[in-house]
This record gives sequence, C-alpha cells and structure tokens, in this order.
Amino acid sequence: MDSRKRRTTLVRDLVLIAVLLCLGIGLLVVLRSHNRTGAYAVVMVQNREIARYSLAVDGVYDINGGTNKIEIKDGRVRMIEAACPNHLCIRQGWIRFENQSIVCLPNRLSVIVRGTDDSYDYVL
Amino acid sequence: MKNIIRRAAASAVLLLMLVVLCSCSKLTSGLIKVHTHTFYPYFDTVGTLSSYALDKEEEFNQNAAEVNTVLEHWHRLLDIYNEYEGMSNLCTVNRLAGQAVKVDPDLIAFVKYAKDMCILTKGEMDISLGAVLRLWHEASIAEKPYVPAEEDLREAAKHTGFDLVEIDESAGTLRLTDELASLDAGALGKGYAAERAAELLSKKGVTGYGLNLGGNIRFLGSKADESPFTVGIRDPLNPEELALTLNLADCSCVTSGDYERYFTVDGRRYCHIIDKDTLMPASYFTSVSVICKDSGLADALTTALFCMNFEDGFALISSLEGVDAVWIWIDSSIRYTMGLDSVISLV
Repeated sequence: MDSRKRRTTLVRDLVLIAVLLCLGIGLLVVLRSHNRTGAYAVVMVQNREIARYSLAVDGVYDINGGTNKIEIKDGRVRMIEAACPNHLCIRQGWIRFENQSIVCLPNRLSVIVRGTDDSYDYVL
Repeated sequence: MKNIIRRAAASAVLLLMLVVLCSCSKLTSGLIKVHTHTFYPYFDTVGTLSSYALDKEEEFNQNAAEVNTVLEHWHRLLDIYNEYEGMSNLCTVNRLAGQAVKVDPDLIAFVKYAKDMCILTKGEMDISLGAVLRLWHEASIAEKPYVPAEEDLREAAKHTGFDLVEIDESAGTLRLTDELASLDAGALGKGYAAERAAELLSKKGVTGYGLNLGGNIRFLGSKADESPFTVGIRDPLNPEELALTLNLADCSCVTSGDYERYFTVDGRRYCHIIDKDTLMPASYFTSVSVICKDSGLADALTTALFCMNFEDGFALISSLEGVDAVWIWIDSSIRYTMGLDSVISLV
C-alpha cells in the first residue's frame, strides 16, 4: 500500500515535471519568435512616422505616396526606387542593424531599423 | 494534499523565474526608453539626437529644439551652395573672392580653427581646397559621372592653400586673395557644428545623449544606467557586416569609409575624400575612425588620416593627447592605437 502510494506520487511528479518542461519550452519558443518578428523598418517623413513594416515578412512596398519603394528580404531592408535626382538612398544598399537608416534627403524621408536584438546603439 | 499544494506553489515560482529569465535580455534592453529627434537637411546629411538619459519628453524636445538652432546656424554659415538673407557665409566669401567680406564672428572662429587643423595635419585636411573639390563635385553629380581631367585638376590646385585666406579679426572680415580660390568646409563642418551643439548641451548639464551628424557622433556622458554607448564599425568590403565594435562614453567617434559616399566611372569607385598630393580620391585605406573628445578635431583628423600613409598617421595620432584611431585596409586588416585596447572588440 505504502509503496503503491509512493509510486503514484512519483508518476504525478513526472507528469508535473513533463508539463512544466513543455510549458517552459513553449514559452521560450513564443518569446524567441516574438523577438525575431520584433524587428521592423520604420518609415519617417520629417519627424513623423508614416509607416512600419515587419522585417520578418519579405515584400516590396510603395511608401510616402509612391515617391519611394522599399524591399524587405531576409530580415533586411533596402530602397529600390526613389523619385530623386541622385539616388544616393538606393546606393546605400541593405541595412539590418538597430538604428541603421537609409535616407532620401530630397524627399525628406528616412527608413530606420528598430526593435532588433542587436546590442549596438550606432553603426558607422 | 498539503504536499501537492506546496509542490504546485514551488512549480509556479520556478515557472515564473523561467519566464523572467527568458525575457530578461529584452527587459534590460528595453529599460532605457530612447528619445530620438531627426534633423533635416543640414550639411547634406541627416542628423539624429538620441537621449538615453531617461529624461522627460518635454525636456528632450526642448534640448532638440536648441540643438536644431545651433545646427541650422552653422549649416547656413558653412553652406557653399546657397546664400541666406541677412548674413554672409562661405558661399558669399567664395563668390566675392578677391574682396574682403564682413562675416559673423562665428565664421571667423571657424576659419581660424580650420587653419589650426590644416597646420596640425600638414595640409592633409585643408578647407582651402575648394577649387579642386568643386571639380570633383561637378564630375560626381553630372548625369554621366566622369573623372576630371588631370590638367584641369592641376590648374585648379594652383588656386588652393591657406596662404590665400586672409583673416582680419579686428575688421571681422575674410578675404580670398585669389579670385579663383574657394573654401569648402566639407571635411570639418559637421564635426565642428556637432561640437558646438555638444557645448550647449554640456553647459545645461545634459548627459546620456548621442548626436549623430551623418557618421559623426558626439556622445555626452554615458547612458542612464552608466553603461557606455556601443558603436559598430562596418566592414568596408561587406558593409552589411561589422568589422569591430567600440564601447564609448563622453567622446566623439568619426568614421570615414570609401563605401559611404562615392561615385562609379567605368566600374571603378571614386570616394569623396580627395588627397591634396595626388588630387585624386585617397586610397590608402577603406575606413578610418578617430576617437577623441572634440568632435571637430575628430572630423579633421579622420580626413587627414585617410590621406596619409599609416606610419605618418600613426605618428600624428601618437603625438596627440587623448586621441585614438582605427585603420582598416582593403585586405580587411585592422590596426588601432593602444588607447582603444579596453573598449574595442574585433568581430
């Protein structure tokens, strides 16, 4: 009797441990994936945010009423079209680090990376 | 029964700890809410002021407005393409070359500082190179970019040099003694202006701020939790990756890279820093960074080091107190001065 009781306790313990482990792993996965999708490209005109796009979703977007077009791929973003004379913004290429930005001066527009897991405050 | 309750309680605590642990990295990085303000379009670039000081938003906005006033003032004074009502700036001095032009005392102070920097760098950072830089600028913005002809560059170079700049402090005038000479503050203006803005903030006791003017960063103190600012320097060969990181506080960090501003002719890349000795884009390094307190000095030295071989540059930096530098070569090799030992990590 005594040993059976002990055995059921052991089984319950094991079940409890298993459940906790699953919960823990589940939470870890959820938090991790949340972190990963936390990065986004913020589109600013002057000091006003006009749009933001998740870097976790690949895509091509017209921004600022069509003056510029950005592409998001593999967690990076770049400018692919711009209605400006020098196209410096397109030449800047891909960005992906926290606070890194692409600037299109003629359109007074910037695209800034925010919400990554990077530990950098600035990238030069 | 009691046992089960106790176990359940213990498990709950464990679970809670696990969750906290998982989100810990996110919590610490989210602790400091950063305020940011963007400045357009001074010095042909974008500026940002960021606060890691945990100050109130109104306070930050007030500081940003004051910094904006400083930057706008210096942007106008140092502009070589536009003139502004009610003031004479570098553009006016260039346009009226040959005549003495009455200017703002701030502009006199700037040109004097630029002269000091020119002497310190043995002419490698020289704002009187305008005549040569103009040719490169025109070539780079042409519909079909080209490389300026060598004889044109040589001819223009005859109209450069600080001996053509007359500073009359008592009369408050600047005069270019050669009608074909011109001033171009590009190699110094941003850093000098950033330092003036930092001066204003320091006087107000502001700390925990970073002012970034197109790759020219001035840090005021450290962040609110006393941690330093982390700066990643990109790998010039692959600007999507970093070559090294620096942990910095209360100083300036200025980087010049050939991957930043350049134009291409027949597949060859021409960067924006022109070596006065060859009149061609400098090609010793792919990236140079200077770290020191004064952002104007850092800006001037970055340009100078870009145009000097390593030995001369290293000797120059070593002769200065509190100044450090990082050089990156085309083959990705990296050298840096000893002062950075404890704050640098190569990626």
